[in-house]
Amino acid sequence: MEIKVINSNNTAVFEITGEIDLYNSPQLRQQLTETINKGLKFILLDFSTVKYIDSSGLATLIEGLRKLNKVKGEIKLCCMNKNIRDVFEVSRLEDIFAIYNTREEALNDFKKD
Amino acid sequence: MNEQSIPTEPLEKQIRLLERTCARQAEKIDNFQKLIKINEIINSAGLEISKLLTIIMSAAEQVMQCAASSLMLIDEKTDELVYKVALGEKGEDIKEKFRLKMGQGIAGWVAQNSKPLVVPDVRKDPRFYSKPDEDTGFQTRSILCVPMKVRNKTIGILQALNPTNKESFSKRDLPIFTAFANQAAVAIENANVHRYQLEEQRLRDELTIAQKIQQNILPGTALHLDRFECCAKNQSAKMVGGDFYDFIQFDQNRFGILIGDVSGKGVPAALFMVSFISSIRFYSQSTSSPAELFYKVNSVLNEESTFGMFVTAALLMFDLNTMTITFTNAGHLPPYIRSSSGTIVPLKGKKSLPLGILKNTIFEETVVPFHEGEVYILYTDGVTEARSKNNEEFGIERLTQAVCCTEPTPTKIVESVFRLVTAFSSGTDGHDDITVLAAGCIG
Repeated sequence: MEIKVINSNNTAVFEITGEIDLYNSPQLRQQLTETINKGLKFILLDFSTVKYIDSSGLATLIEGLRKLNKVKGEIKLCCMNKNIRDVFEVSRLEDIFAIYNTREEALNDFKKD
Repeated sequence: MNEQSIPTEPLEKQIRLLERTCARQAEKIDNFQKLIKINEIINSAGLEISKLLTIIMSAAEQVMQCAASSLMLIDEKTDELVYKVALGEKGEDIKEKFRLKMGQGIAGWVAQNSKPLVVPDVRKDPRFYSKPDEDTGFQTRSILCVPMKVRNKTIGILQALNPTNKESFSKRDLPIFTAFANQAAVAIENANVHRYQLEEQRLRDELTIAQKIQQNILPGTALHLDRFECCAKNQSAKMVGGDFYDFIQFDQNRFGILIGDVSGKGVPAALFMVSFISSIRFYSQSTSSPAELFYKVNSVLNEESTFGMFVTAALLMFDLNTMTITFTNAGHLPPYIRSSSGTIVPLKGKKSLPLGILKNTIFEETVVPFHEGEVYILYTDGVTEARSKNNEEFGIERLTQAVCCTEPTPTKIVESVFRLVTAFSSGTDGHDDITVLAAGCIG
């Protein structure tokens, strides 16, 4: 898995490539924590090039969501393939994550002051 | 020519040269003998690290004939040098008490630069760090300090202080002390590898015990209650896992089957699973509503959940009086029903968020009728997401085929699914925990 973080205007976009699983979700956790600790409160995870996510990856996203909720921040997800979208639907995690089809839609929807 | 006039000086020079050569050869032989002795000492020292380090330093003092010596290892966490062994009259005063930063003092310089250093007179070397001398009363005169390296990585230093057979150390002392340090470094590395192997074995033994404890927490694999029959099978990808199942008797006529999957794998998932199943068993004594049971457990679980861990679970409560099933599904894969006529359909109903995510989650309940001859199949994603060697997914279709192609009893169905999944993923690592549970009223 590779993560490229693009910071701009209080927002961080994570471009993730590969699989998010038990073995590399600590890398995602570290990247999320570092970004939040820097004071960036709006994080968009772009799943365009993510092939697969397992429950460890989902847990890492939930952890990030909790941390951002505490600082009144937001986490959004976009551009998922069908398999990953199904995972969010079956587990009902789509109830707590804002999921968008495109990066633009997601970025425009951050509730910034 | 007068015989007495033959100049003798060249001959005397030659004799002196020969004597010096002999002395150097004797020194080399002595060094070789010392190296052989060092080898013998280190090889007989065994693999217990503290004993080994002390033996190494005793050998160093004998070989180098010095008043004091010390061995320092780099603490990788703090990037400091720590005295592990210090011999000599003040040795105990400095062992483990002094730490040097990389670059500090002679030893720090040697560790930082990975180069040996001979200091004939410490008073003339500005790198000398006098604090240990001031605190112990020892007076350092001359130092010989060499790095200990393993595969080009410096792991520490060896130093000899104040030679007892001469005024100061010289460059000629370096080769033997360097050879000694190399031997010592290899011995330390071997001892460390041995220690890691023992530690690994200890962890494996502990995991074997943990595995047995976890297996004992799960109920047996089959249960018969009048006409009602349940069967379950569970296999962890690692020694312990986060999949689980349970059979819950709410009262004489109401019986529940529970399946769940904790996010992640291994020890963290196993510990979370134990916490979850304990809460389920505790609260199931005070409610007979699956949704209320999940609500209570979720409240407890939320306070314990770390790293975003969560549980997907489904609970089906069979009421043998009313022939109904009350079920709640917290983000888990849909159960399937094999009807008495052989058709297979998913059990449709309301779904809720997994447990452990939001404290006040409301879990939805669905009530449906059930009939004799029907078998209800629950499973975890380790079944449907099992991969073949060609990286194909087992999927729902193969699951339904496995359910169809056998006798319509819970036991046969569980056996069939497990057999087909195992065959499908043979030759792969088996990357996830697998659990299958089936239940029904057999007429």
